[in-house]
Amino acid sequence: MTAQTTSVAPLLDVRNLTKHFPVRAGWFRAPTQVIRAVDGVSFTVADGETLALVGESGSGKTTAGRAILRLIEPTSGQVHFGGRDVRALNAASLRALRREMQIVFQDPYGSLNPRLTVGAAIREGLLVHQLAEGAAAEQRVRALLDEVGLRAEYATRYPHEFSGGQRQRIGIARALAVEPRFIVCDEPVSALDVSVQAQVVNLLRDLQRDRGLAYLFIAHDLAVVAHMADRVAVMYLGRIVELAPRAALFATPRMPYTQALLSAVPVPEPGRVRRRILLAGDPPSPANPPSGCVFHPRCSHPDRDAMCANVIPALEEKAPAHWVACHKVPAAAPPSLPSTLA
Amino acid sequence: MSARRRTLVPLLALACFVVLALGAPWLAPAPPNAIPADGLIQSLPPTVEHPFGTDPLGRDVLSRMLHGARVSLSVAFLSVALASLVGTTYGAAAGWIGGRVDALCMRLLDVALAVPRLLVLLLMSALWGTLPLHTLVLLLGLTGWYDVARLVRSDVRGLRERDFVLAARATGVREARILWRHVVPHVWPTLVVTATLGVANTIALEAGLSFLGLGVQPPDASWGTILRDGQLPGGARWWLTVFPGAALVLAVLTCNALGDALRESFAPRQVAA
Amino acid sequence: MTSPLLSVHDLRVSFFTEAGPARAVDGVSFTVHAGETVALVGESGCGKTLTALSLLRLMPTGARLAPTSRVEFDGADILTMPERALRSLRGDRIAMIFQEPMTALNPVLTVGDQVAEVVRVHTALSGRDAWTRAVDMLALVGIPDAAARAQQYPHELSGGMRQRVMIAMALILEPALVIADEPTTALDVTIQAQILELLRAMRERSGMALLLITHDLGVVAEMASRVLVMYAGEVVEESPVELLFSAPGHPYTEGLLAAVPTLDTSRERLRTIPGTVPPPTDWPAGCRFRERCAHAWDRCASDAPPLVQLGPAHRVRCHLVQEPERRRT
Ligand SMILES: Nc1ncnc2c1ncn2[C@@H]1O[C@H](COP(=O)(O)OP(=O)(O)OP(=O)(O)O)[C@@H](O)[C@H]1O
Ligand SMILES: Nc1ncnc2c1ncn2[C@@H]1O[C@H](COP(=O)(O)OP(=O)(O)OP(=O)(O)O)[C@@H](O)[C@H]1O
Ligand SMILES: [Mg+2]
Ligand SMILES: [Mg+2]
Repeated sequence: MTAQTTSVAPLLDVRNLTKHFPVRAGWFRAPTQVIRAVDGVSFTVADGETLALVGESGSGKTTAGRAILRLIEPTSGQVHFGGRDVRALNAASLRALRREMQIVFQDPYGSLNPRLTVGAAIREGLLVHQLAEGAAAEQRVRALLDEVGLRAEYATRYPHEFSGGQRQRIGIARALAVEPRFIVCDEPVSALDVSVQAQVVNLLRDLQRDRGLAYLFIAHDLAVVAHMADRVAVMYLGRIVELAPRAALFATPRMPYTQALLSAVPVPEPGRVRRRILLAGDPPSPANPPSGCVFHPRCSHPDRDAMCANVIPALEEKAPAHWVACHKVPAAAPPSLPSTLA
Repeated sequence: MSARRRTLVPLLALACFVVLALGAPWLAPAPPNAIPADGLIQSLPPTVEHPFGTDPLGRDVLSRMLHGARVSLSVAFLSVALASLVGTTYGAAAGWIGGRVDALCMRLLDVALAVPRLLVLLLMSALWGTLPLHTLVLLLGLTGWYDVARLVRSDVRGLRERDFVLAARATGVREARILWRHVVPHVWPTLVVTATLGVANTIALEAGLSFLGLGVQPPDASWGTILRDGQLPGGARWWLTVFPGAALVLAVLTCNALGDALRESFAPRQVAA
Repeated sequence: MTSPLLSVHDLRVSFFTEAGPARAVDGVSFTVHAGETVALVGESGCGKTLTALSLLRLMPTGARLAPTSRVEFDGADILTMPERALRSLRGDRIAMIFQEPMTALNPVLTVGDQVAEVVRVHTALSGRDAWTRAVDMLALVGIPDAAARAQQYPHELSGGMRQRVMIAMALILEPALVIADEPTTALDVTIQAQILELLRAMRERSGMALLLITHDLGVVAEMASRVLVMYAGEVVEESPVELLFSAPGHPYTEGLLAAVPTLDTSRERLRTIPGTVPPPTDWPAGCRFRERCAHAWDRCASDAPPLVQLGPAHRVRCHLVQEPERRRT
């Protein structure tokens, strides 16, 4: 099951990516259960494209992003980047590949070493990949800080002297330092206030335009996703339940979970009452996912039936380039020709 | 007292001890084992000539104490250095590798900790008969690293999961450099504090062993052996107990005070927002 | 009106840095009443977190509070009360949800232990009861399979779950005042809705007051009755929530509202406020927003604008209030 086919080979091709975390009571005991953090996820990212990954908190977005970079070892599945099989690389080639694939971490506090100055943190990538040294590296660090909207003289300060949003921009500068082709952005703007967020969103898009960067853009803020993404994948409990071009997803969300998600977005208009689809029941546990469709216990679809509870729905192309994992969404037209990117 | 002064005072005191010990050959009125020229082999109370008196062999106690400081302090420093090295390596390896290796290492440590250190030391030095100094250092070092290992291991285990370690890996930094540059600097505070407290502990331990005749061997002087000389038959000689005893207590107190002060100054900041 | 639960008067926090003193929070005053939700918004780095931390005297080392600052909670001055009295307040009557869940949680203790700890410190409950209560609270904030999750370590949870652990720790003793620093930024919108509902319910049930620091103006619109806008260490606008959105008074507030992305999928460039905030070590003379303001004229460079009262709970720090004809369109 591949999610989509494009005529040119995509930059990143992820197939059936799976990551299970064993939960043990002690290190000499057998695992008592596994947490299926990512459970068979497939998608592609083309050169210069932004694929947004949204979904329930704890649905495995961060894990998927990290597994692609092999910051955590996937349990199974294939990851190809620029034609190379990422999972087959040895340690040295993997380190070299990290120049091309970067990550901006979700937690701007934890991802900066408190004992290194901001300049040293940004410089590290330049040094290990031998991109610049001495005064040239210094120059580059200043330029990068400037690019993300921080003052160049901040290079000699330590992370604790910065606010959350400032640290997030330091993380972005660090990722940009090695001039990658692809960046996993794990909630890069969620710690930013809207005006700085707008600056960073514009910055990321400018970089994409100028350098042909591709992003896997993980976010909770659907409005930001609407501005950043070419295509959007919705995750629920370790699986992709819907994947569609941005316009189609926001205009005609098909999967009931996506509909609930979109309806829950708070709008900046006090007093406006919105019809919100409330999710019934408790969020399920990835250690013990529901049978059949993982969303069925909380689903509000009127035609929900025994099939939903027993048969796992496949991610199918229900409309051109619009992939949905739901038994109750009718296939609109016969399978389309190879989809074009939005 | 301000936090700074709490560190500075014991630090200066410790520096005094080190200077006195290092300068012993020049500061001491006589060589440590010199028997008086007049052949007067007898333990005398303090006089102007011998401010701390003489021991039963007629040797100048002040001189022996200065030279003894050299021995006592270097035994303590060297064995703690050895313990820190072994403990850090063991603890860092267990914490960094994690999983079963870690669990196994920790169980082994539990076993080691279950055996009283003093018992091991007594047994070993009794078996050895006369113990050369370097063997004493080795023994003290190899029985003194358990706490260091435990603390370092728990630090490293916490650090291993921090995102900045992952960030370094994502940048393409090799593991050895990550360990050295991103993990070890965070372990320093723990290490410095436990080492200082370890020195205090070891000074007292060495004195105890030497006092029992199982540590530093005569004719070498250490504070413990001088104390022991005070117990030789021939009546009470307070100066052989009071002076080395005071030095011992002072040195141990100094190191403990320093360790506590350092621990406080390294205490995690309340919140770094 | 009844006397406020929390009243902050002339709060000033500064740091000594190599570049000189940094006046990170510079004369902030506001009140929060029981049962009320006040939102605090503003440019990243403008001092929101520092303000929040100061309310509990939890400033980072190196921060200095001006002696004239006063923070009164329920009539008692927090900034001068003995440490012991303050400790018994913290976590019990005033709780804080920290912005950084990973730093505020201990990596080598299970999350259940950390939530139960709050209960054990402030109540007479036994270890087991405290644990049960902790698990219940974790379930209430939407953590699936809470009993099992309670036994995991922070790094084993997703970002959003850690955030919910922090929320559970803050709410477990039903405090009178909750200071929430970006409580829902790490959460997806459905869980965010659930947490906001929980906060609302607690507000209704126990008259809990909420000081809500957030970037999400949608959340502000939904939760707050009053909004404080901060810029460069100062409050530049205070406004009832409807008024803020319909008629922002300060040019910075306008810029902020204009930068909000919306769900309509047009991909135009987002509006931004040009330039960056000056560093707290050298605030410019006059108006601190001047360099980025489209309306600025010479008076803005020379006189620092005062916070002018325009109506009940409506204050704006801008010369335009006095000279509205200067506004450019
Ligand atoms: N090291 C780990 N050990 C055990 N379980 C883990 C570990 N890391 C993640 N998990 C689990 O995997 C699941 C997915 O986590 P992940 O961090 O990928 O979620 P997420 O989608 O990024 O959520 P959020 O939006 O809250 O950040 C969660 O249930 C989490 O508890
Ligand atoms: N320990 C410190 N030393 C020096 N300056 C500091 C220190 N801590 C914070 N600051 C400065 O104080 C200012 C206010 O920081 P604060 O964390 O309150 O911002 P914030 O409004 O919460 O921002 P954000 O929305 O990004 O979290 C920032 O400019 C920051 O650089
Ligand atoms: Mg995440
Ligand atoms: Mg903050």
